[in-house]
Amino acid sequence: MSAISQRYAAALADVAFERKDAAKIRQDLSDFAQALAASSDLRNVLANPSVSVDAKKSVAAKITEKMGTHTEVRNFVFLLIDHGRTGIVDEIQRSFESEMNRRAGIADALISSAHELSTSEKSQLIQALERVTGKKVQAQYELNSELIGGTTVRIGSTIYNASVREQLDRLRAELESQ
Amino acid sequence: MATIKADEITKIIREQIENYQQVMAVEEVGSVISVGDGIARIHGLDKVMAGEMLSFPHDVVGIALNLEEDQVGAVLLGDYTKIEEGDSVQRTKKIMSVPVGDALIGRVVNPLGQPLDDKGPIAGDQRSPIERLAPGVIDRQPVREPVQTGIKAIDSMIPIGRGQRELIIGDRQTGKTAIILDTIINQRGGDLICIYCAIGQKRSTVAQVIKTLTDSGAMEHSVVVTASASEPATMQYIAPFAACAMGEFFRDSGKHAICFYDDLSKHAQAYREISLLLRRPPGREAYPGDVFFLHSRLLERAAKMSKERGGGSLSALPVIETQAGDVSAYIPTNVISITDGQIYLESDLFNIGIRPAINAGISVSRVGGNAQIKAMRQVAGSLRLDMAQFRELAAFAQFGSELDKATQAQLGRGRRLTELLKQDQFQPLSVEKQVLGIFAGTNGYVDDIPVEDVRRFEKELYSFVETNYSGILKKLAETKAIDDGLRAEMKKAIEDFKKSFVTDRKTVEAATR
Repeated sequence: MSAISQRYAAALADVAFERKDAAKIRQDLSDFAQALAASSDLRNVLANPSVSVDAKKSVAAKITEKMGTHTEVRNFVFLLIDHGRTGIVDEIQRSFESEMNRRAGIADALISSAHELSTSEKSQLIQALERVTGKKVQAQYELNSELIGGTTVRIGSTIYNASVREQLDRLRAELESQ
Repeated sequence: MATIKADEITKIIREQIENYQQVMAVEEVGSVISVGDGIARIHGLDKVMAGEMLSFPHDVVGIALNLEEDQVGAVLLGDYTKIEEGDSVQRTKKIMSVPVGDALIGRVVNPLGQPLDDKGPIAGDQRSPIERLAPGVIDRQPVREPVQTGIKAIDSMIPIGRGQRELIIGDRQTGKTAIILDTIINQRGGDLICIYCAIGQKRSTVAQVIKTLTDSGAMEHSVVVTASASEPATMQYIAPFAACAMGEFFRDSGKHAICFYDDLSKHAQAYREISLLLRRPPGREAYPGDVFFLHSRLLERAAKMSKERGGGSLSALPVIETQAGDVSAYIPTNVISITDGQIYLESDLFNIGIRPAINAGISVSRVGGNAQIKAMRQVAGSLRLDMAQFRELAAFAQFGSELDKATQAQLGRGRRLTELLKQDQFQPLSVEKQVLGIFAGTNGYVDDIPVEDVRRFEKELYSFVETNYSGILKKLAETKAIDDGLRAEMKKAIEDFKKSFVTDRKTVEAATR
């Protein structure tokens, strides 16, 4: 994620916490990003340099009104139109999500395992991760048969690797070094 | 080699597997965004330290140099052609370090401390980070022991002390490296460990240097660190720091070492290349703004340590190559202002046969005088004066032909002293002989000898004194000062020698007539 999207996201997060309306703002931004992703017409209008800024704003105003968007999100969209940054709404939305998570003390974890984990295994794993990181863990799961067994967990740029593949690799390195 | 049976191998492997401890690996990783020209940009690695080593796939190592908001800029050491976008990069949590210790002496290594000669791996496992803070003010003391280069012109007029930083500056082909080699060779049997760091030089040149050192038995107290011209800029960039780290080990263990950085202009160019690729803003001559700091932090690590710290020393002799004698370019002025003096070599002098081609007028040593032995101070004081007067007069003498007696005498003295200070390569002289020779020159004993005979006079004087008056040299070496008795003895010896030398010359003339 680029530095630009992070800056916009941080600014919006500031506002969201000030207005104490974080959940609604989050939802509305995500809705708007989805609408933008879904409609190529909307994207074209906003990206087209021959359409005046005022015209773009009035289009955005009508859409946000219909969607019942929060005023702050609507203002934010106007700001993006003024700055010609509507092309990275998608990226800003993702930055915003992770920024909000960070501020709320939530860590995103990507858990890969060789086999599907049972519910009790999942809750045990998450409890352990919460103890290690000191944050609330929001997990995404994926299957990766290359691991052979065990799991790997990725939180931010840290990887907790307890897979059979890793153990084998390490064993090979140890044997080779002798 | 004893053969090993298959079932034995199986047994070893089984033991390994049984004793294998299951540990969860915690890694901090990032992914390569882009790679090229020895530079990689990496996403992730939130907690990486500046200067930390990073491990890339295919056993490539990198150093994190730029820590930015959303990416990390790293330089790569080694073959980076196999690294692709998206490859994962691991933190090692270690700062770049090189092996140090006595095992390095006599070896040729690359900037990572890996051996380049065929003498096997480097013994010992002591390592030291390549970037370290220079010793503080309290840990130092003024220089007090001399570095004897064995070169008359330097030891007498531009003395270097242990712990000093003295710049060798001059155009190409003026004998910069020759001075270094002479200095290294002159340390044979001494306690000064020499570390020669070649940066951006031709491999053939480096091979020649190593051969010269080996042939003259000087490798026994030397280490050669080399990053040749074909190696990536990154290697050239870390080479002097690695050499310095190796020297610091000796300094901190109370020994004496000297580092030769040959040369820092190439080092600055390598650093410029890296900086521009990392998109740091260019400044004067496109060098980055911190190129001054780059060299000052390197040379600041040369120090004479206080008694409490063991009293060791690390001297530094950096080399700068100028373009057509331009010392006011960026890098030369930088390094001149960092060092404690400089030795100027001029191609004009070199071409008229004054070798070493030292311009004594603008070469200085700001601190070395304290380290000179007393005897040398006694004889060299008037040498400096005589040479200064000679230079002043020589400029005038070119116009007028009518010169009074006194002026002519001074000019004659100057010409003979210039002759006396000439010295062949790989012929370092002991300090006692230097004192004797300069004593003869400044006390007027060569004034009546034809200029072209001065060098022969000097050479024969040494062998004459060695055989007939060896007490003088012994006494000089012991007391390191000239008292009245010794002075009289030296005078007598030279006068004695002159009798035989003059007759000698007459017979030579008679023979040729």
